[in-house]
Amino acid sequence: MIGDRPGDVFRHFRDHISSLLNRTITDARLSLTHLKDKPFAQFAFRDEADMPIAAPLFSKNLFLAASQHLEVRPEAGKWRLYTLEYNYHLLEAPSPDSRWIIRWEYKSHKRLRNEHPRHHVHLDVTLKTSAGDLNLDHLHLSTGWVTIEEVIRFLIAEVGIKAKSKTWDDDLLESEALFKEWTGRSV
Amino acid sequence: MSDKQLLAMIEREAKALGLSASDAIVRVKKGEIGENYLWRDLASLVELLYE
Repeated sequence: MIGDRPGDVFRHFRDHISSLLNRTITDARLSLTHLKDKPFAQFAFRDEADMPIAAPLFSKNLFLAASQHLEVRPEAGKWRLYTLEYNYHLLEAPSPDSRWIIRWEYKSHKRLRNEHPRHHVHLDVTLKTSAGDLNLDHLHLSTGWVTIEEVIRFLIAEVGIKAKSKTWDDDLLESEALFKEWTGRSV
Repeated sequence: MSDKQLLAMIEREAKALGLSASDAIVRVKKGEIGENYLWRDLASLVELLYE
């Protein structure tokens, strides 16, 4: 995604993701945190006191905490958007410290070097193996780039979260096409 | 948003974790952060303030 001013680029992207979530699995709105004129921003679900919360999903009494840390870099007189970090946590309650079920996470090499896989998932299980226990709560199980569209698709199609409309898959496909156009990525 | 407003957000989140804002910022800068979502959000806000 490219725009004329950092704030406009951040808002446009936040509005797109928020709208997608609101058309599919939750009514909660994403809040954008951006220091004026700085090339970094973050969006997350927040309450009225600006504390982070997990958004209630339309059924199953489950909650999604979703955030991204964003950067814009100058390119040909404009600003191009990059994601430096994402966190998509499926929780049992709205409080951010409530019990989690699945955590999809990513941290750019710009932020973290020589550690665990950048894109990974955590599961609240321990596998018994001949090589000993694999605790997937603490270990970072490698994934590809997990888009918010795929998280939403998983929640609706496999976890059974009620979708807001019957066009949910069309909405996700349309958003994925935009993601490909904006980033050049094919995921 | 201003630096002051962002610092106020950091203070509220640090308090929820039982810490002062300055202690939380030191821990985030050292990479000593917890795994729960509140800690990750706090770390993200601290990065926004200082990067």
